[in-house]
Amino acid sequence: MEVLYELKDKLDMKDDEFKEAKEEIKRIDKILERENIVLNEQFKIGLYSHIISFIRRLKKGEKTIEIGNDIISQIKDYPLDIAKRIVVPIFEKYKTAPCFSEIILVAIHIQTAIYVKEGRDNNGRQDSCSDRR
Amino acid sequence: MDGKIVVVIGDRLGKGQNVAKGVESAGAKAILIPGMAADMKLGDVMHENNADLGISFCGSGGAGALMAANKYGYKAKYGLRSIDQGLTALKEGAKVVGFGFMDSAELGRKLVEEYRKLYKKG
Repeated sequence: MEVLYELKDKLDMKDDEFKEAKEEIKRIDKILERENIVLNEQFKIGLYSHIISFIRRLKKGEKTIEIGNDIISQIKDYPLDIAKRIVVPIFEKYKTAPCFSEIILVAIHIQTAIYVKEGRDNNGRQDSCSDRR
Repeated sequence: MDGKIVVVIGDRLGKGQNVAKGVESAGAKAILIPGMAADMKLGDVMHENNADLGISFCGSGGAGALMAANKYGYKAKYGLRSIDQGLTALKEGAKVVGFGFMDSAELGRKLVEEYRKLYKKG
């Protein structure tokens, strides 16, 4: 949760917004823990800031861009399933119909974290620089 | 790097080609990180290339910028939604600017022009 506290300042979060985000992040961490997906500090910053921004977008009724098949086809079923479990309850909480592009954006975070853990690059290839993160 | 301004671009969806064109058209060197989740490598690639400026794009407004700032201490501005906001961020000293998805040549060109004006480089 240390990362989340750092983001509170960086993203100018008020106490109410922070409390809301903290609840969601706790839920997400439990999902990832059950799947044995460990996020390093960098990936936590990436995913947590994304979730905070996603909730802000939902509240404002903002939509993200539509993600094309060139990207969707690169996402594996497993990270997609985890992303659905992360994102769909947030849509439900804010009474908004789920948007597949938002699910894909979170799935990219999950897939990349899995690839890095396996020593592959962001595109799934064996990475000679996998110690970067 | 021939005294040129070096700009690294990382886009969550592997895009940013138009921004790179704009950067090059303004006389700077663009390094476009290929592939999905490219923004997550922004800090590393900036560091490796001793870049002057980094531009990150993702749905949330540039998580890559925050990651680069955390790992390398670059001054970053996050959640930018327009060219003007990007120019203001540079004026405020940002070295990494994070935007929502916005693959525009005009953005790349104007950021380089502003950087040149501020730092008299390239």
